[in-house]
Amino acid sequence: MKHLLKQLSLDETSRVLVKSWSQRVSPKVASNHAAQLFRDRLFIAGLMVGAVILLGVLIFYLGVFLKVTSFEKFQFWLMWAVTVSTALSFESLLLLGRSKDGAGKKLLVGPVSIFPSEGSGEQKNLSIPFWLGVAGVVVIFLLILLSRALPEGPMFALLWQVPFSYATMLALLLWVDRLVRNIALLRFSFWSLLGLSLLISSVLLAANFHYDFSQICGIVPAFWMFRLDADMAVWEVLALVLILFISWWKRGWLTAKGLPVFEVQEPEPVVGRSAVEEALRKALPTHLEGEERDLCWLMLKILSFPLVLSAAIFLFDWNGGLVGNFLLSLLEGLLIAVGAGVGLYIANLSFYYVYRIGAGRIALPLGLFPLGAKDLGREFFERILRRATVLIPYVALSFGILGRRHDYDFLWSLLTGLLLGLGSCVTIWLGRFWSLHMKFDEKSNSAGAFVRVCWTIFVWAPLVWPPGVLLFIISAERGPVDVNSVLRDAFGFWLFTSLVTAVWLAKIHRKKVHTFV
Amino acid sequence: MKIELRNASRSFDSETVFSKQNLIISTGSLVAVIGDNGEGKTTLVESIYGLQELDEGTVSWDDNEFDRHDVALRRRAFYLPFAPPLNVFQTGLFHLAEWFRFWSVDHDEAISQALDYLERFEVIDLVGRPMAKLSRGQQYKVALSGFFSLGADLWIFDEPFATGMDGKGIEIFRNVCREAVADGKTVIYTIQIPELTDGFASHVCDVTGENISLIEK
Repeated sequence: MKHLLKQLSLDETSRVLVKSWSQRVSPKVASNHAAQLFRDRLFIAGLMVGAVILLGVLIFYLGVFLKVTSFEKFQFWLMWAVTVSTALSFESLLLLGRSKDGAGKKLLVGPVSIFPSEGSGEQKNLSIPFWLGVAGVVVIFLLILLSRALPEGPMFALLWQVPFSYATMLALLLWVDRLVRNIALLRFSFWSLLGLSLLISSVLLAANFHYDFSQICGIVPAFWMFRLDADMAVWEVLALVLILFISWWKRGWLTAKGLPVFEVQEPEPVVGRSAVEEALRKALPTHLEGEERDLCWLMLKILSFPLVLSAAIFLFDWNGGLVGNFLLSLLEGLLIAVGAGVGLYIANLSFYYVYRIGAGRIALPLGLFPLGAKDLGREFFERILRRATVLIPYVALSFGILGRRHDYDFLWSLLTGLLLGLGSCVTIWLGRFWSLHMKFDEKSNSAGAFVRVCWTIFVWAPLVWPPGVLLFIISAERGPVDVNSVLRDAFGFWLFTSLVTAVWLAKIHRKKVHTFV
Repeated sequence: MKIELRNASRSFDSETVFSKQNLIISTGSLVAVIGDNGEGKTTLVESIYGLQELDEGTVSWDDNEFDRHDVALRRRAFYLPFAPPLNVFQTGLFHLAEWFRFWSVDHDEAISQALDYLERFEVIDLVGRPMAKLSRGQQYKVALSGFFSLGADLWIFDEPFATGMDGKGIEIFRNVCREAVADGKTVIYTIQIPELTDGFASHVCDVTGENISLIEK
């Protein structure tokens, strides 16, 4: 914590240096640096939120242990703590980025302090994550008190599972894809989905909707919910329509008018290079270079968490029970996120290569590499293959341990994520291609984005999901095909890819994608 | 700063790098330490800087025997390795501020100087980014800008011409070193190609076998 506070508090030398430097460079350069500082503080704010959650978990676990409360309420509290903390971190980031006049970009240059009494103006804003963290602790304690008064049972579980599933799904995906840099959009999506899912859960609760609790105990149960009942799908559609309506009605939210916009650079797969990390990185296959090694290392880091969890479950025989269920749920969610992340990365990479070919504009709608570009095509697939070879041992080890010990279908989780990601890949390809050929001027950005999102969802996405569903059935080897089940899967898959595509499109739209070609 | 090695020996396991060698580098010298790979160039300069301890003998800076615990003395010099010690997650500005703190320099003056050097190297726009986003040569230029501004009397560089800097950067490096020497500072650098010392170094320190010899050019 001391180190974190030190990071937040720049000393006199840094202050003078940054100030002098910002006077010598162009406003744009200084602004980019501000965005960099902002991202640094995002990380710190994230850590603080994480610390708050961890603290809360420990406190509440103690409560369960001492039989002050039940496991069900523990889940309720835990999920809402995560949701509230996520919301707090989003808001703190927005507050951090808001300029004095409440509009436009903010230059985060100058002294930083966690104490509002020190510094002035924009400097004070930087204390916000800290105090929001403190507020988070208070909220958590309030939630603990509240949860004690709530009833128990399947209906009760719905109160946390539905909103949380949406929020987590979105947050994980955005994080994996590093879309988090688009704070305004993230905020909009988060609150929209959270509010709507709350609405849905309330209606379902009022209608005394029944479902199998055991099927949605995962930390990202949205995927499973799609498969529960066709009635659910109706609500999903309504929610989607409402989201689209709000995005049109409040289209100013997606522009620089309403919220700050941060100029960001194209992502670079950069990872840390401490001595230990460097040594581990060197252990990666030597045929990988530069960006690929970075990516593999990143993947390994992501996958190491499920691996550690698997080992913990195996070693301590945590099959079932409080800790076991929690870890298993966490693992499932992570695997889905990892799978989706890989799929989305493939989308990015494939898009990049297709456009490097030059004739991509013609080839893209068909999803084919044009003639004369065989080398690039081969390079692309070889890269994917090489990455897969690095990941296979880790995945195999993870599943090997779990497969022997438990009946839990983790492979299904990973495949679900992977297929969702790959499905998104195709949709994104199509959506991007279409976006690139649409010319919108600056003034019609919001309307353009809205039209594009709708068009993609309702026109392109349905063309994409049938193959995805087929893959679902084949890969999972689920026995005789139940048509209703397939349709529900298809709908879930379609909705998911559409949502991801919508977010993605809005993102690239904001970056004036037509200049990308 | 005058540097003096007396009866200096250094070896790794059974391999002797140099043995019972004496060396005097006068104030205001620009010394190129040359030698083939593995001959001990880096070992020599790191021994002069105090980074490596001699097995035998002493190192003196301005007739003061080097004492690792004498922080004030150590702050009179800097050593820039072939790969500068950078935290790739942090920006150039962060590193500059860190170095100024470590050397406890007057920040106003040093900052102004550092920014001047950054402008000369044409990397001033880049120091707001994480170092990982800069090329190797750019990283080295940022490091040079910071270290040049520390006000040290003894400058030591390991392989500065193999750091990825472009021709313009190397020329600026040479000019700044010349200015420093004219200002009474002592500059020592290692290099593998003797021809590259022409028109730049005032002395060549040859590390061959177990011997060290200093020749005025």
